[in-house]
Amino acid sequence: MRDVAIIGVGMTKFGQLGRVTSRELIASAAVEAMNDAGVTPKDIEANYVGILSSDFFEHQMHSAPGVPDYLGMHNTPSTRVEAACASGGLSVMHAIMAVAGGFYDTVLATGAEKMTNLPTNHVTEGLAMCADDVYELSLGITFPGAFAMVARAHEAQFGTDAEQRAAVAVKNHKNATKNPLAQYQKEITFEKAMNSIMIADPLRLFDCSPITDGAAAVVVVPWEDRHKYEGQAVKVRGFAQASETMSLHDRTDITSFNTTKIAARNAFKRAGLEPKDIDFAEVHDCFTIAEIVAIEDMGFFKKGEGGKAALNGDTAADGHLPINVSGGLKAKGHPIGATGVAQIVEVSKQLRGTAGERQLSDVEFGMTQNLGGSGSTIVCHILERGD
Amino acid sequence: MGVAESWRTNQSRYLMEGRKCTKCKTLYFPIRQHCAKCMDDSMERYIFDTKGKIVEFTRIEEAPQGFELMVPYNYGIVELDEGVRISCQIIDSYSKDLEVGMPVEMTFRLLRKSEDQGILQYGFKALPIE
Ligand SMILES: [Zn+2]
Repeated sequence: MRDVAIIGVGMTKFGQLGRVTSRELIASAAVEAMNDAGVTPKDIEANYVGILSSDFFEHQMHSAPGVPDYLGMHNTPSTRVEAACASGGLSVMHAIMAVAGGFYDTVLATGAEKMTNLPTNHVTEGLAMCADDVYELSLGITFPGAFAMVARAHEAQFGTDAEQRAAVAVKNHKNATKNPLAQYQKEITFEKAMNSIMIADPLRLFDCSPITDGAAAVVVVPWEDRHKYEGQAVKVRGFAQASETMSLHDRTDITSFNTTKIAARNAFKRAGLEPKDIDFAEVHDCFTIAEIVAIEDMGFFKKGEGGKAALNGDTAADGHLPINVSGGLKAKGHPIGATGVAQIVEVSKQLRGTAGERQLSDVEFGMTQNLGGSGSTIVCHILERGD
Repeated sequence: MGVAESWRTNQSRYLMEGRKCTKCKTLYFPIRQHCAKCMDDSMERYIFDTKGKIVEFTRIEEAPQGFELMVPYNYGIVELDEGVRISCQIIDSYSKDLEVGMPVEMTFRLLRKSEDQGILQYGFKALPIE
């Protein structure tokens, strides 16, 4: 198996982007990533597309060939990867595996979602289709509802309260003020977060990520070939994926996601690294409680300490382990299929030293955690600064 | 959930019908054809008792399509007396009255009107007892 490099990155502005389709958004991100890498569409041997549901949001299935179509590379194989909100991370992982396995040398991994075409109750329905359709969604569950139960269980067991959850939102909004591509570049106060409208008790509006349009793309090549390209290489050190029951109710403990523990452990094993080696991470804060649970399950903080870590500044941009310096899903935005790819884009930019105003100093290893459904799919990646 | 899917899954939703593996005795809800533990397909019909207790719950204020008129409503994870867990709405209750461990009984109720084919979907909801 070959070592793999991320050699080009690109992403669109995240937000409400109006009259564009997901494939147009992907084309924009992909052109930026290819220009960054110094390749042209004809160099791309395969493409992976992470999209949750162009079917539901845009009434368009078979969205994979639309990408080579709009990039003028008509005959290039293109594969759609769907793993709920982990679709993007999995798209990147498949590109990495294709190059690592020697099947291709230059692969494009993309992800996008065009979500703002529909009213909120339909978006809520579309996202809830990632839960069990008959035995969760049709009975009235929502994703805020599922994570609200996680938050209640975590609070009952560890005392993770509303202030600790709000600390995640306040931190990520602050981080996003330095990310020009973020959906929201406004700081919020604890007061605003903790008094916003209730979505699913105890999660309030500011505990939830927004509805977003956007796309992201990366170009993946063999590590040994990195000097043939213009792009600044970042090394892929580890990656792993794990699955779990479709329904949240089928798990005995909902204060943790086993999938995060397993995917993180396997990514660390492949990388030959430990949690203490990681300098920063982009994790899946679809809800504030999700970031808290993630950084515990990844091994960065003891169980029950994740909320306190946000409150006392450990996970701030100037803390000892910055989490979601991009603004995270919370403030950068969460265009479902793009999210996992955008996490790789952010970690790559930080490791290259090209993250602009939000650049972290002296970072060598960065990690991602991308979550699908109620944690039913998790994808983790570990990247290393290039030479 | 359209007409056909609704009809095909109504045994579980209407009757709390699941399956019991005749080899390893594992209980499943809803109905499935193969035991995930021993991969055997010799499953027998098992009707779950309607009693259970609340494991966790929330109060949903932003609803999916078809539930908008019910908000706010309580939704929770329920462990049936047999040890199998399900989740559903918890009716005739407000969050402040609910507690983890509270006994409930499953009742048959209207769930929602399906938007795409207009059918009325029925199924189970939990009712606190005592
Ligand atoms: Zn069995």
